Amino acid sequence: MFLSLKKTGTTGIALAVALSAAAAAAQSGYDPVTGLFVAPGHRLVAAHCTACHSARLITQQGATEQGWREMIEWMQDEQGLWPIDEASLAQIIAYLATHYGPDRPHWK
Amino acid sequence: MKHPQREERGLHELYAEDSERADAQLFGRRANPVSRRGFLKQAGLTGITGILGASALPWAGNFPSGLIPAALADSTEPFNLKAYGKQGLTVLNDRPINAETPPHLLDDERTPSRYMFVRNNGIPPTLESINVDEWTLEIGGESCANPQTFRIAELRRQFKTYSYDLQIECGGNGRAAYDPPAKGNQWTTGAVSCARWTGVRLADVLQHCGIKQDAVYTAYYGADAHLSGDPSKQPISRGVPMAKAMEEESLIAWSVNGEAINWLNGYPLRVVTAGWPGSTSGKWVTRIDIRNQVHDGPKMTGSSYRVPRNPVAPGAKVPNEDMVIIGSMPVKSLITRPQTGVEHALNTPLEIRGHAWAGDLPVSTVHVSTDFGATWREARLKAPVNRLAWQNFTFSARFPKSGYYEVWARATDGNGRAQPMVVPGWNPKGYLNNRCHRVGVFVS
Repeated sequence: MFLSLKKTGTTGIALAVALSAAAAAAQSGYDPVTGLFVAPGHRLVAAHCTACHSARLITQQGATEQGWREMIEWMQDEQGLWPIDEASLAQIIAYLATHYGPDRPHWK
Repeated sequence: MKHPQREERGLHELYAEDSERADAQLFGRRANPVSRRGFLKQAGLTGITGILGASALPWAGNFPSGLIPAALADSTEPFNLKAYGKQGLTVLNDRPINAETPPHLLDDERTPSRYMFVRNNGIPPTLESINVDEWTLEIGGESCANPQTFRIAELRRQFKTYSYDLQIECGGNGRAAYDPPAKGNQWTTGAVSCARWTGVRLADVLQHCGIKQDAVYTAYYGADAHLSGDPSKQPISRGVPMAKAMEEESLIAWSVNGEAINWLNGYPLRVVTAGWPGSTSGKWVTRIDIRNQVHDGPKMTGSSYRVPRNPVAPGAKVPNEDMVIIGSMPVKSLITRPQTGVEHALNTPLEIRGHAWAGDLPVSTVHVSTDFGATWREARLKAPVNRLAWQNFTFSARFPKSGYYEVWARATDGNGRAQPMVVPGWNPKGYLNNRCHRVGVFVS
């Protein structure tokens, strides 16, 4: 939201907005927009997954690494999910299996 | 650093890991090692009543170990869907919209539209795009002799109109309780409704269009769009065997409780095949085919709305050929009054109310326990308004002394099958959880 602000006068505001968003996330541990737990990979997940469905469909689930891989493959085979490069896919699956595993640490 | 409901999740996590250890850690509780019930030490009992805020736990000796008190286990997070004519529903997902009804909002004998759960697989057609006068329903398929298209006004004019109270429950209602977790929206108890639907009989319309000898199954098609936005994809297209389609209560409906159907529930036209998974009752319906084979549309195959033919261990991989399509839903009940956690005055009877249903079957009895399942007494059960309507039950509960109680309800169907007290057999997508419902009551 602050990328378009270019004047030095507004940089302070932009920074404040960025900091407050970051502070909100740090405080709760959850991304204020998607509700995803903030950890390496959460932005990739938001980018690839929330084009079709909201992140709430993700945050309700609890699956193993294999389970998440199969879900992604099913979405690619049947549900119109686009191809994802290997490196991104590995990060996405690691993030999901760690934070949205069968023990559902972040299930609300 | 605190997340809303984080503490409560912590409770569930601890119980999921090792329930008896959780009892010990949280409440200092040790149960009788043989009966797995009760409290061996007063300390544990003090702990559990302290957390509940109750003065005593009168049936403490019966309380099974490792069971989270219902007053702590149930939580609802009401969300405002008012813009869509909904009220008080808990939103599980906003794209696609899926929302369930807290038990106490299902207290009406006939569910008002505003409290009717929403289970959408795709994106409904925009309200602006729906012209009720121009909406058409096409009947066709391999086993249809004379394919035809009807406007809603033509359906009303050409066929007799019927109204029935019909119970619709999502196949995945209760999914949240399965362990390991089952994929999909994590419904708890609120994906069920029973309302008065008005329309024409599916049988009358199909017969009018000619059902060939080789007819096997119906297939509905709706105007909802696939989540990916790909117009060549359908989010869902299911149906029922011809015998179910030909039942008197199977409707093509345009009205519920005397009003237009809520947009999220299928306005302006939908199928209602009550007693079967809600997904067989297609919404925003534009076409119904009579097929010469079991329908193979999206969500008819794989693990969708199908369960293992034979019981499997939790977490098992089940090959597609060992999965069967869900037909009639199992016996179930829901306590709609009081709301869990209610405070109640000692020496006055507490009126318990709820509903019971059993797919295609009637419910024969409902029993209620107020002592953690040690003893059960029969509730007053009304006959259904018509076949496939849920049945209302009432029970007057009395409590011997002050403290924390739970009310448990258990229904038995016309074939003598009763609800299980615990989560039934695990299946890959977490369908058919018909375990008993519990509510907590504080008596003082």
